[in-house]
Amino acid sequence: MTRDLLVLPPVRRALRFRPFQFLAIVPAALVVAVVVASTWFGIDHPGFNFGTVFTWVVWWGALLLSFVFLGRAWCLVCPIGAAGEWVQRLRLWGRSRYTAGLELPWPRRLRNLWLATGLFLVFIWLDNGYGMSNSPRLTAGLIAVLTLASAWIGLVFERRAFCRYVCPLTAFIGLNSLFSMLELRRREAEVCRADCATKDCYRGNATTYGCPMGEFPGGAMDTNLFCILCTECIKGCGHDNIGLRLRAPGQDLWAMRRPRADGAFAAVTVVGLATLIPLVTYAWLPKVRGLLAGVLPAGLPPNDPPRLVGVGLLFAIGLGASVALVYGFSLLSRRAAGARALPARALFVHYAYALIPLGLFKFLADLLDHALRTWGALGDVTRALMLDFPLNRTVAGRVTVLHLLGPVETYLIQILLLLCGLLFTLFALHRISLRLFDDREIALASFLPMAGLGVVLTLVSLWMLGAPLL
Amino acid sequence: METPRRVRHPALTAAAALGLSVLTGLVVLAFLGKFPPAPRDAGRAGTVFYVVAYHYGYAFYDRTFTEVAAMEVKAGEPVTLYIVPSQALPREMVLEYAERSLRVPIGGLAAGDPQVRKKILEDFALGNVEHIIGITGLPVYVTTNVTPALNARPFRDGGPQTLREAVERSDPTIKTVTFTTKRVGAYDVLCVDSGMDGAGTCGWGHKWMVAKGAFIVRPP
Repeated sequence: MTRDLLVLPPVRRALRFRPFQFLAIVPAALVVAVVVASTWFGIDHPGFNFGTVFTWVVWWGALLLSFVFLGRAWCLVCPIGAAGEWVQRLRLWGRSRYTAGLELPWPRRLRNLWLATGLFLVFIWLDNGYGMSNSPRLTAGLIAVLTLASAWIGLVFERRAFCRYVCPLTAFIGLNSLFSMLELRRREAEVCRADCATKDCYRGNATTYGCPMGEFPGGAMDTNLFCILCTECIKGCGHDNIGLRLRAPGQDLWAMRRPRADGAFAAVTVVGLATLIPLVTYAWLPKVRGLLAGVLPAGLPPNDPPRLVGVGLLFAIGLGASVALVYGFSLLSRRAAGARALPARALFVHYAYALIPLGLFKFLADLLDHALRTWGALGDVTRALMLDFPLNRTVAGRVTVLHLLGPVETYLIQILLLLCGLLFTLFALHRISLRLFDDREIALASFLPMAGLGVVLTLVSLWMLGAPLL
Repeated sequence: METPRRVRHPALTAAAALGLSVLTGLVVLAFLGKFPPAPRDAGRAGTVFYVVAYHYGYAFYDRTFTEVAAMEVKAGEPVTLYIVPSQALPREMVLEYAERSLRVPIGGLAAGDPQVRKKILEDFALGNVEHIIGITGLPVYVTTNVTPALNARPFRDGGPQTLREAVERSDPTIKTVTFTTKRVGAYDVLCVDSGMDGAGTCGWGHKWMVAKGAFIVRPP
């Protein structure tokens, strides 16, 4: 059941308003500017710096929650991606006659999620190994590097190549947005096929740009994976055939017509980063670091090469274990389904997407604990920021540590969240199995081993959230 | 209808590339610490105070190394604080400073409670020796650097014998901060590092290391 928000006149007027996206970006850009000033010049203590508290508690939390309700809404307002677009377009919103961009096509070999998945791993490794979220200066550096990368790539390549293929968060955001309760799609396929010759949603026209992500809303776009909700296609469609619909969560997970290996690998990476990789890292890091300290010069974190290399090695082991586990269960699924089953690789590619809710809800469970412990600090750091706006060099005094809930209550809510994730995963696996196999019995046989994998990963998450080590 | 193609303009591309190159260069310089240039206050010491941070309190000294109850400055004048961890000094002085903590109630313990002495010695043994000194509402946030000098021992060998000697020989354990404040008022000096359990790098008592209103800014 869906409901098209574009039938509501105020929504329709707002989204068709040419400067809509720019006006949405401005507040985000102002906040990011304050965050950069605060993290670059401000107090070098993560708990006292507005920029680090805002980025890694408020922004990260809002980002995770936005996946559930709004899909890639962050990309709509992201000033980092916009930087590349502004350099390219030479306009903040209207369509310009000139472009500063060279508009080269993105290299064919890189038109996938492999690079973005690798950069996402590096991003998380930097945080785990180098404590990026605990360092105001590294946080500022990250924002600066991403903005410059976006601008340079925007200058050289066509459309938003950075956002689609390079941004370290694109795979993470895109995959989790498959779960979203909001979708932007064509309304009637027949209108696009038979009545539309210009394909303005993809190519653009005299007043609008074609899809900056290189998607074709009037054609092949059947998921939220790359839709950044920029509303360019809504403005450009001459047949008023684009809808913005509310829907039941998770629909893309099983409705995807052409799942790809790079996306499946990225999905396993994201789920692995929420489950097996932290398990392996925290269980073995002290031992591995101790071993590496014999061959590498040790230092104090974050400048501690044995720790950095150890985290990297354990990330590789955890990722390998995640891929092997999902592939192993795909093999079991193939055996259970019998002779008429698809190859294990194909099952891996189809079923991997269904595991996304497990990862998303584990991230939300982690966030819950973090937010309940650190929410009090936000008021303190904001007060300190106001005393020395926007450089944030002053000390706030004590950071308020107010626990909204006790550990037992928090853990109970986390259990509920993980069970929610498991239920969505089981449902998605079931729907995918029915799509893959006409025979319901074979579908069930294929589904059961993958359901077992979902249960195993949930148990891992439950154990980790309750383990005193973590 | 054919979609009108946008016109590529080499001059615009070159201008954008030049602008981005300048920005990229500035970011690299900033990463290397060469940009922005040092603040105006750098090199202008102004009023000087020495702050000895011990477990778990402070002793303040003026320019003549005379101990004062509070640091008083005038609004608008530059101030330089020398932050000296007590463990930069000889063992007898460290213990003498620590004894001050036994004369006041700390962390719910009565003045003179032997638990405090035990906690101090425990922190020394655990290597909880640094302090991160801040002044509320002012741009002061300084981490001491005594760990390398201690070389995993609780007390230092061969270091300066007095506070004056430590300052005069620019002992590497001492950190300085220079700033100017325009707002009149009394500000708290505190040990900033708050671990979630309240135990920071100086250990158990760090969260009670607060000198209430010890930095006073008078009207000019």
